[in-house]
Amino acid sequence: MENKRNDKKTLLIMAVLFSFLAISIIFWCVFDYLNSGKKNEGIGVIAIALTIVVFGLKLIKDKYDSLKQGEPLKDERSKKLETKAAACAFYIGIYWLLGLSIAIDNFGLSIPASSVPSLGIAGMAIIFGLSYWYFSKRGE
Amino acid sequence: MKNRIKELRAKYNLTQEDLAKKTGVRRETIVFLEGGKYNPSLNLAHDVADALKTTVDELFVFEEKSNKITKRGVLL
Repeated sequence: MENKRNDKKTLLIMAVLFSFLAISIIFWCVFDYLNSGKKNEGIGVIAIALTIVVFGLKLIKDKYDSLKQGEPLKDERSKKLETKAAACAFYIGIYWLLGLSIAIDNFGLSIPASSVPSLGIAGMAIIFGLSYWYFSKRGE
Repeated sequence: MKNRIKELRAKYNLTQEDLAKKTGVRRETIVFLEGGKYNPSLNLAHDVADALKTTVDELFVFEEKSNKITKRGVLL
């Protein structure tokens, strides 16, 4: 009973955080469009943002459905998978950041310094998602 | 590691969802357990065995490692 209540709280927090993320992405897209004033500019970014929103909505819906069926949000297998994926994201993320800094310094990659941490975090998030999916499909 | 979960689940007329609820895990975990793609913790193995009215020893078939010999001739 206590676990179920905690799961509901976790799902609610996830939904709230995701709503903030979705609203920020929408505002960012609108302002970007208004500032650039060109229709074709930033279509790739908007496509990525929409993919994130759709993926997030599907994830929350799946979690909500399984909670309604009485399943826990997390169990020992999903916790193990999370740990493995987090470790993978950490190790590969370090090399991703190293690669980025080498590319900026030596290969003339022109990325503003302020964007490097965002790229690093985004890379880690993508690696986490991919490794979670990979470990989940592969099994032990 | 092989197991008899599917066989015993069928014997007691339980679905994967039923077993998942009884053991407090998600259905996918039962799917992976049945397929031998996930090695459970001792606690979960005990819970599953309990739900299927058997023992851990009878539920899981531990592969013999004592007869495996490496290329260098070392017994594992």
